[in-house]
Amino acid sequence: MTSSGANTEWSADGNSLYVLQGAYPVVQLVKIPVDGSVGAATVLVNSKYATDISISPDEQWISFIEFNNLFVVPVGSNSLGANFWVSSRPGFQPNGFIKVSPIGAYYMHWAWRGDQWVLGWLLGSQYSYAPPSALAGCADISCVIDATTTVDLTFAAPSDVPTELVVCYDNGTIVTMRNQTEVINNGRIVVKGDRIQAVCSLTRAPNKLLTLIF
Amino acid sequence: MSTIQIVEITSSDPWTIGTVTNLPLPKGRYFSPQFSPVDNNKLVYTRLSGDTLSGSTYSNNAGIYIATKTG
Repeated sequence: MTSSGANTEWSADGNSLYVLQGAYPVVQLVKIPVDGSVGAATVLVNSKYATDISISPDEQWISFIEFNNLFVVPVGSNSLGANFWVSSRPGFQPNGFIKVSPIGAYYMHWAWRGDQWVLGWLLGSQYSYAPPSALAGCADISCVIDATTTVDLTFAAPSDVPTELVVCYDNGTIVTMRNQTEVINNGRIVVKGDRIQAVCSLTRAPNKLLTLIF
Repeated sequence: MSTIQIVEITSSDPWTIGTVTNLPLPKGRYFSPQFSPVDNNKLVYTRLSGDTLSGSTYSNNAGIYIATKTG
């Protein structure tokens, strides 16, 4: 079909693919016929700074992720094409622009739920979804939150912890979290149970250090 | 590395699956297989190019492909 592109989606009629092309920060959502017609690809949506652009399977909505937040716009209120750009920047927002995620979103996708397509996303341990039609009349983010369903995916599971075992990892290059620039060459990491007990250079009396720990 | 597995869903129980069909492909890393919404014999998938983590082995001919079931 094509040698470049990502985030492939079928068109509703199965005759074309929607593909994200370009290179960040400038990307395009492109429609490519599956019959292989060369040069028949058309640009539908452009963006500077979006990391993902998606069209809903019913082709009624365009969603995009920009600066880690999720936005959606209705297809019917905009003229898709080579001159159509999506942006969350005030003054450059498309018609019917809605901010969907209050503070952030990852893994944007469309899912069939009940009798309609909903827009879903993840943020940390929380999975959220919202039907765009319910968001369309929202004037502020609190209305969007009310129309959004959020599920906490957190779960607890037992895990084994070695309680008495002491392990030394030797001769490693250790990039520590101290000072931001500290790198220990030929280093030793001492682990007891499931916790790091000490980090040191093997050129500096490791036995003395171990004495201090235990 | 070289196969897309197609699993038949026969039950709402995720541990119960139906027939598994293998779509054999040249060695490479594959991603995001999706059936056409109107034709279950058409499957689009992506073949990934190399990157700094995975290296360049088996990364030629990257792109988006459509497989059509003929038999």
